[in-house]
Amino acid sequence: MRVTLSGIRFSRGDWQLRADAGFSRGTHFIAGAVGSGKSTLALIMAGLITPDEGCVQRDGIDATMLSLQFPEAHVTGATLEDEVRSWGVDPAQVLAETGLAEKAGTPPLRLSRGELKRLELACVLARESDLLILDEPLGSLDCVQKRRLCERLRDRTTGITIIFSHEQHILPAVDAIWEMRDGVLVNHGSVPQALKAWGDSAPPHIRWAIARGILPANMRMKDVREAACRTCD
Amino acid sequence: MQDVRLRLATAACLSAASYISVFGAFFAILWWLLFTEREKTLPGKGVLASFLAMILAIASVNQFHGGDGLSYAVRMVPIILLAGWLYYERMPGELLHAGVWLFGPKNGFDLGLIAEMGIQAMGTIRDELDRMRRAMVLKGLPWGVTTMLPVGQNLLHMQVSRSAEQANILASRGYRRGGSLDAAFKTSTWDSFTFFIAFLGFLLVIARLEKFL
Amino acid sequence: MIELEGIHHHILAIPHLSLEEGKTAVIGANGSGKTTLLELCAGMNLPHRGCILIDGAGPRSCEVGWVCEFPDRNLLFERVVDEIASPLRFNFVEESIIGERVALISEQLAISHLLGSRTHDLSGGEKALVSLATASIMNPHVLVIDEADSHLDAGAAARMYDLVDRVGAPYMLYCTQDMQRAAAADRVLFLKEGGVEAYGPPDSVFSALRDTCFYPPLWRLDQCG
Repeated sequence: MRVTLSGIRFSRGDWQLRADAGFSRGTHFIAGAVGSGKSTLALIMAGLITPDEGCVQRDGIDATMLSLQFPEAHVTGATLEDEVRSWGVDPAQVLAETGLAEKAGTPPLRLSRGELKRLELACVLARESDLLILDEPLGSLDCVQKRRLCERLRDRTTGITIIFSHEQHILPAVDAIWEMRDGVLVNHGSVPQALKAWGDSAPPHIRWAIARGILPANMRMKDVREAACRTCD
Repeated sequence: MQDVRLRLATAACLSAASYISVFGAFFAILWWLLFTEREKTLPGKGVLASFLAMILAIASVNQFHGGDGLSYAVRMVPIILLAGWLYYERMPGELLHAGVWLFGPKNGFDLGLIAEMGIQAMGTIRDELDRMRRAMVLKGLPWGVTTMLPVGQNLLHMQVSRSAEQANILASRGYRRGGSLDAAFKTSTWDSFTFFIAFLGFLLVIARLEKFL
Repeated sequence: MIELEGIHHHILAIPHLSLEEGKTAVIGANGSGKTTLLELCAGMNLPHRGCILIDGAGPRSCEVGWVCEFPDRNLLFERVVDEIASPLRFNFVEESIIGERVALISEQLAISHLLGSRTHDLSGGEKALVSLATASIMNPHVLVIDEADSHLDAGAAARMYDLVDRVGAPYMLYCTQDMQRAAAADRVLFLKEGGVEAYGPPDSVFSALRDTCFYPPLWRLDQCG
């Protein structure tokens, strides 16, 4: 199971996106500033926009799923129940999981952005997919919801998961770290070595650890604390 | 054409001329061919096709009921071309200047502001529709007539909520009615010349009409 | 002081609250009433019950600057110069003064090079700075920033908050999901289910939140390292 980006080039005015990469089974985190091309790359990988050059090869991938950055864009149903059903998943299960069972008859756009994001993410995660792409899944969520999502992602052990995010503090455990730098997709490698390679654009807690010669097992805050405490001991 | 006042007046003269007679329509098409960037000013294929389909449908009904459908179709096409030209040549902020010049700092400013924000909304709607089409593909739903209703409902809902946000932002910026603006325009000799030609065409159409009457 | 007395509005229920001058970070879970509170303090809505006074005057009698969550949705005009000038135009300020004030605020926020640009072409960080310039040009008494850093990367958000100090508004209320940013405020207001759970200096508010995710993450590391 592999996703290969071969010679991907995409231009908009003066700005150009370039990507040559291979993603194997596991969870990949693609960091980068807002406007660095993360959302565009997510759409290219999901096959929703065609690059100017190059191609995306999906080997062993039968089903691809993408969660868009702004949850309103996903909405097609008139009520929450209709909306969940439009994803082809069980409304009772998803509404219970997201704590929205009482609002089953509510129009989706009446929810707050955080509620709508949780709902759409739950639908996307409930679908079976070999390739799961999440564009800024942590945006619009509070810290409690971010932690829950990170734990839910940890439970996904099959397929390829690609998370695009500029989140700095509450992060999931991942297998590899990439970065969009000035429109170019850069591979920092596998965790934990990737944490060193990430450099100055890494989240503050990673930089804190690396500066003290501490190499955490992964990029979560608790990994950094555990590694730091082991060093103290 | 840089001067929005002349551009609007040109479009008004040629559209009126086109509407009144087939001669006016041909004059408008000739003007469009000579003085605009032609293909570049055409609306997108989908939009153009929709307008032409609408004109054809109305012309057919007209013809079927004994009217002159062909004349109707010929007279409406230049109006679509002129609308495309107006949109293509548009510069941001100029409608506000035109509004204030025409109707003053209260009503004119308000009208200009509405026009500017309306045009911006068109761009937003286009982006929203693109996003929704992708959402449909992701869910494996067809993008067609059956899904138009929920898409339309959601688009409307989003535009209404966007309007409410904009109202809040306007209020927070102190907007009550009108505003201060020294309306300014760039007028070239070429602009004046091409407007004069358009106005001449309009006069010719009126003269022929009077002769006819 | 911003005085809130007997406030009941949607989820918000605040018997009494006095917010001091300076930077106040408003934190809490989604749906806890943060945006509702900010909208009341900005005068965008009037409370169903109760009253709010800012140094003795109602919010609608004060100059308020507002920067909303999404940079894109904060922008009304296509050109940056028209966007920043808009509050001055709406208040019928003379054209010559408009030019001077726009130039001044752009220089303060280091965005003079963007004045001729279209708002659509700006990066997210640039849009946030233009929104800040627009909100600040009338020398607001209260500057409200509603979670504008949620959709900005760390660099752009840091730059925006660094430049906020240059605006010099007596009251700055900002709502954020970044507890490290909240910890940099003069005071923190923690809302829970529409009520005030805690208000005070960051040390005292966060000490009660040590076992929650609302504790500034880097403070945990300082305890460790």
